[in-house]
Amino acid sequence: MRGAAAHAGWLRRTARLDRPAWLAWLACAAGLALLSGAAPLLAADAPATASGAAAASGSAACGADLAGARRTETARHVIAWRADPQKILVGRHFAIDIVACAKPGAPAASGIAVDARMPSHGHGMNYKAGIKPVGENRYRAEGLLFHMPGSWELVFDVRSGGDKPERATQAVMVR
Amino acid sequence: MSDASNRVAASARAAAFGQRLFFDTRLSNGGTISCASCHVPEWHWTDRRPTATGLADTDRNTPSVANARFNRWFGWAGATDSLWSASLRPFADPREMGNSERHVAALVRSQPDLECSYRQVFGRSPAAVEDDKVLADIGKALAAFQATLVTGRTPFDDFRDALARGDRAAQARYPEAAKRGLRLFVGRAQCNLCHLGPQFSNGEFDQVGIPVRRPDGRYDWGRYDGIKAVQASRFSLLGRFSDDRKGTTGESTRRVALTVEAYGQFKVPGLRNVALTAPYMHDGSIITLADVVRHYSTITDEKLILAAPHPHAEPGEELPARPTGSLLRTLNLDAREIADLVAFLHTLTETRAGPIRRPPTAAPAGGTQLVRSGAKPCG
Repeated sequence: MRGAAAHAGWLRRTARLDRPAWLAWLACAAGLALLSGAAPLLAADAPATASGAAAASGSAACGADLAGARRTETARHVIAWRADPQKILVGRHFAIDIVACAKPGAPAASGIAVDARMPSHGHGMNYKAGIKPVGENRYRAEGLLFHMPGSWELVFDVRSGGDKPERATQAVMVR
Repeated sequence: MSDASNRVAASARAAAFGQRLFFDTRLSNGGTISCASCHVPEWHWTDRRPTATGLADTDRNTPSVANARFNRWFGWAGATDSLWSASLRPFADPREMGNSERHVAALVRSQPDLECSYRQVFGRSPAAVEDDKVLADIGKALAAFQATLVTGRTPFDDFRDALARGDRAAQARYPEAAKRGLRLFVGRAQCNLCHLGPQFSNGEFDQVGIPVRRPDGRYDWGRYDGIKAVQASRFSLLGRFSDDRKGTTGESTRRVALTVEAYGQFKVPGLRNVALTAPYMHDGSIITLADVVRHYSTITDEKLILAAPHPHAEPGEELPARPTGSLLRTLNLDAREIADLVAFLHTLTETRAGPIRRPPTAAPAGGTQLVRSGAKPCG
């Protein structure tokens, strides 16, 4: 059962395009409880759960110039990434700025691929992101689009030379 | 409404020209069919048929063109990526208008009223440009007209606003059955996973359990063929006829992925005025809204697989636990729940419809004109 906050978001998105009083909808979650019969969800917009969780203190330096970046990691790399725009909206294309930092003793990343999927629904995106290097260890993935609200999983496949790509994932909740 | 790919999208003069073109049978082979032959304004821009009939019978239901301007992809398979290119597609289909770009261009050049309007809107003579460019411009004028077709305010909009301002009296005017239906829509039935946003559509595609095998034995693979069509089209947003020099409007076309999941997927339609656009589904095979709800309520993995057999799970083979790429689950709604969902869907009908939008030359008695360009009349 989805909660009142989720319903507030849904109703906000049903606002007519020519009547953009959307913010008012965020204030009416209590009223919307009558529609849901459920407690409000407490989930943040983008909880940072990840394989590897990137909790090591050293990882925070990776992509330190990307304000608001989230981090995940493979065995040999820390991935710092930030969406552009930072608020990912259902049905709108967005890009991701990525910094791939090698852990001590690991080779530098030679390339990265980005995809996304909804594990609970068994499908991925309808679009294929384009990746381009934009500087040392830096990449920009363009053309991503989440076409449904819910829990998505970003997938980063990091290559180092001819080695088999290593994978990092990160959950992203989209309202 | 602006559209970077269409330099005349917001032009009232273009909309007036497009309105005349929309009702002009000269654009079809034989001069008998216009856009309005299937997109009938009095019937909410549909034809009330299961599948459209132009010069011959087609395979798909006629979608309304109201609110079409809000789409990312156009048509049940998304075979076009702009309103102007979608407006061109029926010209070439031998079952619809059965015409060629050479013929359309020659018509615009030879008919004084069309030639004059073209010059007024595009600032040049149609004789000065190639056939395909004339055709693209005709599509852009048609798009300018269709962009003016937006549905009106609904009881649901009133309820939503009443909730926002905490107006309990206004909230109470929303039918109780519709409230229950709305609760189902965003709750257990999870309709809002696909039917979301201002138009109640995510603008994308899904498998919905309607067989891809048609009664005549042929297959309609929907989105899979739609992606191939848009990628091959000269008139896509990535082509030379787009007026978007920055290329930003072509992002979806540039990035769309041709995957096996697209087999048998069809467009998630918007739901505004849905009660006025029966019959339903891409093949018009379901007559009433209640039956549409029943269809989704009783859907099963087996039905989904058999409707759109995956290349690796043909009928008779062992079925996977879940069909690839579908979210649909059996709901087993009872009769009251079905009625409640239908009641909610009826509250998405505009309270006051706009005027019947036929141009003066084609208007029956009492018809009114939508757009007045202020341009000196042609012809």
